[in-house]
Amino acid sequence: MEGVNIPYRCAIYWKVAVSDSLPEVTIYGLTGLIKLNHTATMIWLLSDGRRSERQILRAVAERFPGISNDRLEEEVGQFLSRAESCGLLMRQWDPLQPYRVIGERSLE
Amino acid sequence: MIDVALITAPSPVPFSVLASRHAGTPPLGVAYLASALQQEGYRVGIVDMNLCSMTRRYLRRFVEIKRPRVVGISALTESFPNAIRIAAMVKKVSERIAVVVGGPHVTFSPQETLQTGPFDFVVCGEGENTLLELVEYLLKDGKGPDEIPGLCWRSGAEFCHSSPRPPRQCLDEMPLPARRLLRLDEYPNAGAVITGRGCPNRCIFCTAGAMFGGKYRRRSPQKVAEEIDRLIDLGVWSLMFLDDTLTADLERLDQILYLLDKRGIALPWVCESRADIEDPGFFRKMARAGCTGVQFGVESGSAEILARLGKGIRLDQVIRAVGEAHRAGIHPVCSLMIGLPDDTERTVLQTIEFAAGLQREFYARVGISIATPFPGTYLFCHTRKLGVKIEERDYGRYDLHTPVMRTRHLDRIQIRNLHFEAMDRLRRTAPQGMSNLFPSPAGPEGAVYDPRDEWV
Repeated sequence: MEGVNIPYRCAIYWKVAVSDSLPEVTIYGLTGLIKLNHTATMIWLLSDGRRSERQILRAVAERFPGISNDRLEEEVGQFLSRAESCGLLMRQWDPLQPYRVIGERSLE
Repeated sequence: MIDVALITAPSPVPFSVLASRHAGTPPLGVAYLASALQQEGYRVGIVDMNLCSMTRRYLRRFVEIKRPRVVGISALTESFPNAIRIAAMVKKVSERIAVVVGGPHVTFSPQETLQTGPFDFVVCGEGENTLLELVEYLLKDGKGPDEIPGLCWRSGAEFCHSSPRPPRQCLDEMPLPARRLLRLDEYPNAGAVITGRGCPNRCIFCTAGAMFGGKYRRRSPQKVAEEIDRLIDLGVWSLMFLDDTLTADLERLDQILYLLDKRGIALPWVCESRADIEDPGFFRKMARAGCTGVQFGVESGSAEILARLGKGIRLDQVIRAVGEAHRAGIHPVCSLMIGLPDDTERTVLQTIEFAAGLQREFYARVGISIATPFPGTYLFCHTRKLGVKIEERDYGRYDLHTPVMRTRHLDRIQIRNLHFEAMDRLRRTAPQGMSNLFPSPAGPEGAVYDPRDEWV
């Protein structure tokens, strides 16, 4: 996982409900309604374009202190990849080019 | 080498950029600035960073290679943080480049804008004459900033401003926008045209009246027809009128349509209309002249909320206008908002119900956004009076889909959840044939993301 990746949500329709005194997010994605569990909800809420994947990972590690870093890294990475493939977020967000660049234009 | 580079700051929000890929229009405001400068012999280049093909690296190379002496950046509230990034990048290339910023956001927050650091000047209001006079001052030793109306700048730590510049009254004298500086083929709606500026209304959520004057200033039908003629030469095959109130003067619109017909121009076109259009029967004439879609700013489906927005329209007028457009064979598009100052859960549900009715009865395409207090609006300036509290100060979040304020009755989470409910309700009640407008959910309960539960 790249420490400089800054994930940012693309989906605009999502809601937060509280279940077992913890938030739970449901997203209206391009592929349908997607309900996240508590952990995925935490990652989703932190994917706000202001934190790197490394910072998100640290926050999740604090919430789940008994889990090894390798495992957390793999799980968080898996969620972000899956969410990206569903068009729910962008993993490498850059505010000046906030979309995937297919080909750069040449000045010459 | 060029004298002036004009750069459009992109939205920093992924969704907005994705949306503009499907419905983006050329930056006509910037193209008008370019043509005003070109008319006086200046060499101008435009970089629209909203285009998918634009990158941070391209922009830097553009400035390094073209070496402009002045860089003008155009920004909305949402793209203002990117305007700061662009300005800082330009200053990094060369401190000697004068960086000017304009647009509705900075017009209403010039001091705050200059305090961010990298900008040398702020152009307030309509920019053509102000920018031209400023470039004359910077490149040819013309009259000083304090003699140029509509300008703000820094002198050391001091904030300085000249007198305000009144909006230009005769729009026909303006040269046509410099579209040849743009890559028109990269815009889904390349045939955008502005036939007039300004808005006589005082909607609490909009800056149009304050930015462009409280009067609809119209170009003559002849000039509009001439511009459309030239657009056809550029390969445009459909038109989009960007005026806030194109149907406010039906006599003039009738003349424009007559002139287009006389010239044998039969392109499909879309426009915006107020719901209180004087003669809704006019939609039939518009349809015969090629109109395929009309957007209506409906704003709220609650009569009591609508009455407090300063827009001056009623729900019965909305039903009449949208219905007439539909019966004329024009696709109505309706924009509504939730999270307005006095909105409650009940009034938001009324809005959603009303929107679903427009969709069901008239096959209207409905968009529901979240009320956002843009600087310069009544909503932004009178938060206490309206009982709202702005809780998000990062302007990059002012994208109309992120709740940035709480109201008397709704907090930001409630507004977000109601926004979701609106989408869900509209999808569920869409008439057959419109379902392709909505993503299909995986099932009644939806798909469930369920990672390894042992550490959840």
